[in-house]
Amino acid sequence: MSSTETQQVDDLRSDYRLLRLSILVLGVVFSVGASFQSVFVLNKVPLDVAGLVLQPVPDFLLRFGINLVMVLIITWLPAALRLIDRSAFGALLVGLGSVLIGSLARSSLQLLVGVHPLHPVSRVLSDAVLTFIVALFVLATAAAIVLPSRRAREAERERQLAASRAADALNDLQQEELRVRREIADTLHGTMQQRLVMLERTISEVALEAGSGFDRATGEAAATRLRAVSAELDSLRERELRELSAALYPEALDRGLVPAARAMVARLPASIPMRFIADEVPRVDPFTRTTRLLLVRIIEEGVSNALRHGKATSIELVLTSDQNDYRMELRHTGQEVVSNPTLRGLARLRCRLADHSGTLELVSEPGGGVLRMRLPLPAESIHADLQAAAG
Amino acid sequence: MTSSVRRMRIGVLEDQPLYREMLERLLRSVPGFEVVSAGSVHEALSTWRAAELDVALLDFELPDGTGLDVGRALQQRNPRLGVVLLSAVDRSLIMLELDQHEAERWSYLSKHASISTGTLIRTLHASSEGRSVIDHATVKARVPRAGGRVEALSERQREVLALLAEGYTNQSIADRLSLAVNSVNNHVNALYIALGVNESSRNPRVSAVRIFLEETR
Repeated sequence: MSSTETQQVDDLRSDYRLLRLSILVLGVVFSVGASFQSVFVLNKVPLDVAGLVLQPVPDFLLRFGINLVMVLIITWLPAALRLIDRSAFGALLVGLGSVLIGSLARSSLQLLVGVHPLHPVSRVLSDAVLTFIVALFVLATAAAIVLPSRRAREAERERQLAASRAADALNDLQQEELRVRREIADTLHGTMQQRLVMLERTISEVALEAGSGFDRATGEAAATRLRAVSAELDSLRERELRELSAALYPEALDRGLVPAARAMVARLPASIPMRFIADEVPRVDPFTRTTRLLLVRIIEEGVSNALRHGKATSIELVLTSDQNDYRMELRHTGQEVVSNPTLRGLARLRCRLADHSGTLELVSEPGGGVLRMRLPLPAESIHADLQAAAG
Repeated sequence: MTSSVRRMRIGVLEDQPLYREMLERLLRSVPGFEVVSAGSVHEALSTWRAAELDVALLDFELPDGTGLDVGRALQQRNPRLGVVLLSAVDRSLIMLELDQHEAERWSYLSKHASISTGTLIRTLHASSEGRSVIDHATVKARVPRAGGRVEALSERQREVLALLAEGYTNQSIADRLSLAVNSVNNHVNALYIALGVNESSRNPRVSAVRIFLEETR
């Protein structure tokens, strides 16, 4: 059982404990009061049990005992029948039923021990009705104590959950930023550094040769080497620097999810067949930049997994939306996804998506797999879309 | 009358002063060209009279927006305006963000290509006449993606498609490839069929170029 579920069970137990305690305390107070009034204030005729006229104290105790039976019934029965977890109508039925059973039990016992004679019946009935009303009052008062306290606790729990989600989201974001920074630092210190060193060395060598004067053959060789350096620099600028820049901030992200997703999958090597199909995201891209960034990172991670683990021989990215949800399907052919794959990067992104009430799953398909994402559209965008559709 | 003396009003939007001045100088040296310039999106949209321009030459990345936004805003005021986008790195996929009918008057040049006077003037003329141009280096660098329709074309068809993407008319393509124009017409029709482009659509060239961009890397 998760900690949240354990907490819910504990909360429920605590609610019913408070309900039972409230009914019991109020019921006992009324019972003591009613019994005391009968015996010591109104000086009613002492009870006669099997020909033995009771003294005031035993008389009081017997009357109190009978009342206590009713109190115990209306304490136990509503809790057993989960009164406060029912709909208003259900709770009313359970409440009235419990009180009726308790009152009937009390009246029956009173008749049995002779608190009231059976005649006149009207007197028995009026006492039973009065008991019913008092018991109902006790139960309603107890519910009135429990329900506001429950609502306050639920509001507090909701606030704590929202705060915890916000803290988780912030933590995820910080972790993601660290990961990207590390990746960029690794690339700068690794591949880029190495290539720049090679280029620097080539230029130095050519410069050295130039210092000693070129003949025709060495001049041509030096020109070829410099052209290669130039091409390499162009590749560094156009590809590596661009990819580093995209790692910091995906290309076209400001212009919307579709352009950003297109720019990202367009970087796939030309040797891999790729299809990109996109419904324009409603009429106006409804996502904040943070959400867009998250979605692009999911696509990026999915593509990277398809290439690395799925040995993708083709990739298809489909972005669609309906009235309520935005959906992404990233399908690859190649190696089949194993059942229940261990997710690392995707698991991290799935947690972040869950903060936006979205879902992410990686499932196997014959000869490949598909990564499916669903994200509810922000309510305001659905509203704007409906308005636009209405003309 | 040759195209070089035709009067053309051009708006130049570039945030780097040196590059902007160089473009202005280059364009002002062409007989018949009139130039207005701006250094920011705000300046362009607030000072240019779109109705008086024939072509807007817009840097793509600007501190307060993009050339795409400016081009669209200007075309709303003047639907016949040609737009040429400039970018330092290959951003030719921007053309896919345009609606089919929008793309007719939009061109894309890398900044390398824009400093070639011939290419720049040809692109400005083509855009003002409602054609779309992508510069030669950008088109040449694109490789057909495996499994796509472009890869399935014959070598000659791919050559013709590349020249269509560069904004050449069938006659110009015939001249460049030393073919009869009828032969080029046949190649163009055949590649439309192979790409699944409806020949009777509003602008099959634009559709073919979109497929070229989508299915090449």
